[in-house]
Amino acid sequence: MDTFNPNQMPPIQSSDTNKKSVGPLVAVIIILVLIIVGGLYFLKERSSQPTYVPEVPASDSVTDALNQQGTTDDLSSIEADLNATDLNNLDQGAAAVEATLQ
Amino acid sequence: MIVFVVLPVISLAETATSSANKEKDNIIKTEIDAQKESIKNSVQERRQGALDKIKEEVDRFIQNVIERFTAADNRLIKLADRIDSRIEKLQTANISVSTSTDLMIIARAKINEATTSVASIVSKTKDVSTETTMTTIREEFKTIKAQIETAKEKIKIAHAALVDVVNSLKPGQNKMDKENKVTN
Repeated sequence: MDTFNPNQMPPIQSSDTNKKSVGPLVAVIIILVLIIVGGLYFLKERSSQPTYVPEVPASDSVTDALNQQGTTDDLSSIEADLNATDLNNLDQGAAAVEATLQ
Repeated sequence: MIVFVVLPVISLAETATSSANKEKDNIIKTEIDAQKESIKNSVQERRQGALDKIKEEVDRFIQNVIERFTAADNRLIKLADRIDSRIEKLQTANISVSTSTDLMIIARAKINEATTSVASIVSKTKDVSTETTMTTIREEFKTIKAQIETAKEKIKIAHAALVDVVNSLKPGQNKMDKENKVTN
């Protein structure tokens, strides 16, 4: 009569199983590395590209100064604003343009 | 006999050589013409580029000037409104402001003249952008510059007129301040 003897069982091929489980793991690691490298490359390329900065027209100091004044009808305040009105620089830059045209 | 045979051959060869030379000359001439045309086009392009740059600079300056003059004009109008408001308050306080009122009428007229002058600069700006040669741009700029100087002068006159109004209000204001002190 044959009885079940666990000692007589064929040895489990552990090395094969290990190889099988390592294979997909390596593949996943390679894919992850590729994704990371690709991502880093993309970020590097994007940062090296010149970014578009919309041109903001520089404000003119003469115009800015003229646009600022008080709102009260107090005589001293009106007088102060009248005295602060600088009209000598209204055509500032004309000489430079003239020089360009010569 | 040999001469009769060789001479036509030589003559034929010479004709062939001269026609080949002519062809070469034509090719060289065509190449030179093409190069001349290319240089001419390149010079024309550079000139146009320089002209466009100058036009851009002139346009930018004029736009700046228009903004400044408009701001100056608006400033004078607002100052005139504030002065009017002060005149009304003095009138309410039974202080004589007849001189100031007369001066204010003059100042308002001067401001209107300045506004008209500023508007004429704006209408002139279109002329520069349509000019195509350096000479015409130069001439147009001269006209605009004269217009700018006139407007500047008119704005200064309007400003001086407002200063006169304010100075004329000072005695009345002092009187009102004194009366207020006595009342308090």
